Amino acid sequence: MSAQPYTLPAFAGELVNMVAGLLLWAGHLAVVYAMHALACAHGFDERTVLGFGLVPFVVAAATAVALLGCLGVLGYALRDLRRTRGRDDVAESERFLTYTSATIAGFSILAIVWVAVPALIIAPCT
Amino acid sequence: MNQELRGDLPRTTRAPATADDAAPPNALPRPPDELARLEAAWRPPRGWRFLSVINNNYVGLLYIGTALLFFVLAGILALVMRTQLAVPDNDLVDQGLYNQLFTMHGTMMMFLFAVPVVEAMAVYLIPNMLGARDLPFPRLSAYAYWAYAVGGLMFFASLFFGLAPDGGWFMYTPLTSERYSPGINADFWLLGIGFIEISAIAGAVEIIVGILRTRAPGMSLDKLPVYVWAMLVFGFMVIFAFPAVILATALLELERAFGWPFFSPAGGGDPLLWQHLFWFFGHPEVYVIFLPAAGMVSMILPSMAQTPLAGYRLIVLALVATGFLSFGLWVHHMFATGIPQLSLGFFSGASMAVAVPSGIQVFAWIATIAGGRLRLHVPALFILGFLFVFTLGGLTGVMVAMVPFDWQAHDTYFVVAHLHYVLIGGMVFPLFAAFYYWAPTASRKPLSETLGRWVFALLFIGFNLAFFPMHITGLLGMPRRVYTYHGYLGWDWLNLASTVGAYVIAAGVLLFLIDVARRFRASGGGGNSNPWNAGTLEWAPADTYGIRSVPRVRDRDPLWDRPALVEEAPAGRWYLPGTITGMRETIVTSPIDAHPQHVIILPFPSFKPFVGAVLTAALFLLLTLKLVIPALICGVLALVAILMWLWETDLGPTHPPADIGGGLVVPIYSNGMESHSWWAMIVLLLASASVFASLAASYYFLWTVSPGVWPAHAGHRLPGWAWPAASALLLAIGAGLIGFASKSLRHGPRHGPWPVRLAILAGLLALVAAAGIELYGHWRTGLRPQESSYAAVVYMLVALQGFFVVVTLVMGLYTLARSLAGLVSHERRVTFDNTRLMWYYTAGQGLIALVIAHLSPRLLG
Repeated sequence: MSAQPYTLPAFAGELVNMVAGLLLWAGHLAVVYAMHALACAHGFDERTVLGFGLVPFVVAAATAVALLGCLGVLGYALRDLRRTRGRDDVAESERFLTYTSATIAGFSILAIVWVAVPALIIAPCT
Repeated sequence: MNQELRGDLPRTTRAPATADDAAPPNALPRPPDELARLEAAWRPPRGWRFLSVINNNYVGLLYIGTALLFFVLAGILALVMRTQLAVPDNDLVDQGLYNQLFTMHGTMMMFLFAVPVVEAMAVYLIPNMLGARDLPFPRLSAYAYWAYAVGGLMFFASLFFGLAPDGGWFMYTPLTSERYSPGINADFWLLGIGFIEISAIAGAVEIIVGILRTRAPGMSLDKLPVYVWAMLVFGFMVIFAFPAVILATALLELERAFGWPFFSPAGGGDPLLWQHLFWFFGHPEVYVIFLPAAGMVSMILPSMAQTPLAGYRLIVLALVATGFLSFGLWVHHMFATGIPQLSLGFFSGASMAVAVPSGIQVFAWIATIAGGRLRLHVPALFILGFLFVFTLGGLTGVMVAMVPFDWQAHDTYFVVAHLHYVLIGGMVFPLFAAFYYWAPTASRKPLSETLGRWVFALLFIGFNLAFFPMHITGLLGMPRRVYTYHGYLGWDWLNLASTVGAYVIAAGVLLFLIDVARRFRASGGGGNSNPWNAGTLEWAPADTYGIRSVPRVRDRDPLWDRPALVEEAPAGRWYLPGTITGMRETIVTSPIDAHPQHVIILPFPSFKPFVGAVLTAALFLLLTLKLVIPALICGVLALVAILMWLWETDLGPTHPPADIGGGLVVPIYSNGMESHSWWAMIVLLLASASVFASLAASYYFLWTVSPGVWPAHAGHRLPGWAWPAASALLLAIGAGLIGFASKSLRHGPRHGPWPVRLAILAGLLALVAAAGIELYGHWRTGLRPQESSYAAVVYMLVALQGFFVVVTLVMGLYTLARSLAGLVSHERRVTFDNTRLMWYYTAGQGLIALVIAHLSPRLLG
C-alpha cells in the first residue's frame, strides 16, 4: 500500500458540496435580511418592481434562486446515489458524503421556505 | 476473537471481518526494546516539572478539573443569590453586590465552565477515540489550558476587590459605557473574556486539525464516532462565532478607553451594534455547548443499550444543520429591541426550523433505546434526566421563538427558567453522564454506582424544584436581575421553593465531589477496563502514549466489530507499535478516507507554553489595571516564550521514510498542503477572516443607522485616490515578493538562501509602508477617531490591518531568523509556508479594507 496524498483544496471542495444546501440557506437569509434592513433604513420600501413591492419581490427572487440551487444539489446527489448503488469500487465514505449532501439540501429547502413565508404575510418596515 | 464470543456482542453496522481484509500487519513477537522505547518517549514529567506537561491525557484532566472548579465557584455565587431571594425584602446582599453576583455567575458559567469543559473533554477524549497518540499541537493545548486557568482565576478574584463586572453577562451598552459604568469593573469583563475566547479559538484549531488529520487508518468520515462529528461542528462554530465577540469587546474597550463612538448615539454609534455582535456569537454559543453534549449522549446510549446508534447518518445531518442554523438565530434574542416585524419573522422562522434537527436527534436516541435493552446504570439515568429536562427547555424555546409570546415573557424569570432548562438539561446532565461513563478510562477505579444514583436523584429533583417554579414567577411578572421584591407581589413561596431546590442541587454536586475525591485516581492514560462493553477505540487498553498500536478501523464500533483488538493493539500487532525516531509521533491520515499519509513528530514537554500563558494573562490583567508599560513588557516576554517554543518545532526531514507496519512505508515529515501545520494555519485564517467580516458588517451597519456622519453628509474630505492606490500597490508588491521567495526556496541550493531572505525583508517593508500610508492618508485629512462612528470604524479598519501587519512582521522576522540559522530550506519549509499564508491573507484583507474605506463612502454617500 502506498500513501495517498489528499490536499486541503480537494477536501474543501467535498465539504462545500456536502453543506451546499445550508450555504444557500445562509446566503438567502443574509440577502433577505440585508435587503429589508436597507429598505427600511433608506425608505425605499414603498418602491415597486413589476407591480410588486420591492422587498417582497427581492425576497421572492432570492427564495426562487436558493430553492433552485437546493433542488439542483438534491437532484445531482440523488442521481449520484442511484449511479453508485451496489458498486464495490465506490467507497462507503463517498456514498455517505453524497447522502449527507442530499439530506442537507432537502432540509435546507424546508428552512428556506420557513424564512421566506413571513415576507408574504407581513408588511415590511412596520 | 472467536465467533462464539462475537455472538454475545452487539450487532455492528457491517459484516464481520474476514481473515483477508482485517489481519493485523505485524507479527509477534515484537522486538524486545520496542515498548520500552515508546514508554521512554512518552514518560510524563514528575514533581514540579509537571507544569511542563503537554500530553492530552494530563492536560485534558487538568482542564476538566479547572472547569469544574469554576462550576463550583459560579454555583456558590448562585447560592448566595438564591439565599437573598428566598424571602421578600431580604437585605443579605445589597443591589451593587447582587449586580456583580449575577454578572459573574452568568459569565463564569458560560465562559469559564461551559465552553472550556466541552473543550477539555475533547482534549482528553478525541485522541483516544481516534486512535491518535495525542492532539497534533500538544504545546498549543497546554498554552490554551494555562491561559484559561490563570486568566480565569484572575477574573474570579476581581470579585474580592469589588472590581467584578456588574453589567450582566451580555454587557449591553449603554449600561456598560464609560458614562454609566465608570471604573474598571467592565474592563475586567472585556479584556478578561476577550482573552479567554482567544484561548478557546486555539483549542478549536487543535480539535479541528486533530479530527481531520490524525484518525486511525480506515476511520473514514462515515465511521467517525458521532461525538467526534459533534466536536468537528463545534470547532467550526467556535472559529466563526467567537471572533464576533472578540471584535465587540475590542470596540467597546476602545470606546471606553479612548472615546471612539461605536455604540454612542451622540457620535453616530448604535447600542444595537453591540447586541448584533454579541448575539451573533451568543446564540451559536448555546449550540457550541449543546452539540458536544449531544455527541456524548450519542456515544453513551449505544453502550448503555448495547446496540449501535440508530440513524447515524441523520444525526450527522442534524449536527451539521444545527451548527449552520444557529448562526441565523441571533436576532431572536433581540425581539424586544424595535426591529421591524418582517425581520423578526425571518428569524422567528429560522428559530423554529432549528427544532427539526434537534428533534431528529431526540427521536434517534429514543429509537436507540427502543432497539436495545437499556441498562439503567448512572450514565443512563443522567441521559434520561437530560431527555426529560432538555425537551421541556426545547418546548419553552419554541414558545419564546414566537414574537408575541416573547414580548410578554422578555426579561422575566420565565426566560431564566427556559435558559436553565436548556443549558443544564442540554449540557450539565449529559456532562455528568459523561463523567460517570468515561471515568474508567481515566481513573484506576470507576466512580461509585451507589453514590452516583444519589447524585442523579439530588440533581434531578433539585433542578426541577429550583427552576420549574421560575416559569410561574416569570408569568406572574417577576423581572430578572432584581435583588429583592415585596411580599405582597405573590412571588414569595415560589422563590422559596426555588431556593430550596438550589440547595438540593448543591448537595448533589457536593456528593459528586466526595465521590471523585474518594475514588478518582488518575491512571495517566487510557484505562484498561471496559465496564460498559463499549465499542469505540477509547476503551481499548492504553497508556500515556494512547493505544500501543493503531488498528485499521472497519466499523463505527471497532471493538464490537473486532473484539480481538483489545489483545492485538497492546501487543503491538497494528500500526506504529513503537517509536521510529525515539520521539513522540502520531500517524497523519487523509481527511475523508483516513489513508495513512505520513508520521509527524510531536513536541516534547516544555515549560514554555506555561510561561507564555502566564505572561499573556499578565499582559491582559495589567492592561485592565491601566499599567501600560509593565503590560507591554509582559507582552514582549510572552512573545519571546512562544517563539522559543516554536523554535524547537519544524524539525525537517530528519529521518527517512519508515515502515509503520505491514510494509506500509510513509514519510516522517511533510511540507505544503499535506502538512498538518498548513491546515491549522488555514483554520486560524478562517477565524481571522471572521473577525474582519464582523468589522466590515459593523461598518455597513453603522452606515445604515447613521448615514449623517458619513463623508457625503458630514462634508468630510476623503483621502485622494493616490493614497489607497499607493497602499494597494505596496500590498501587491509585498505579496509578490513572498511569492517570489517561495519559488526561489523551491529551487533550493541553486540560488542560495539570500534571494529568499532579501525578498522577505523587502516584502515586510512594503507591508509596513502600505499600512503606514493608509493611516497617514486618513490622518492628514483631519479625521480623528473620536469624531464620529464613521471615523471610529475607519480607524478600526486601519488598526485591524495594522495588527495583522505586525503579526506578519513578527512571523517574517522569525522566518528570517530561522533562515539565518540554517533551519529553512526547500525540504524544510513549514515555517516559511505558514508565514506565506499569513502574508497572503494580510495582503488580501488589506486590499478589501481599502475598498471598504475608500470606495464605499464614494458609492454610498
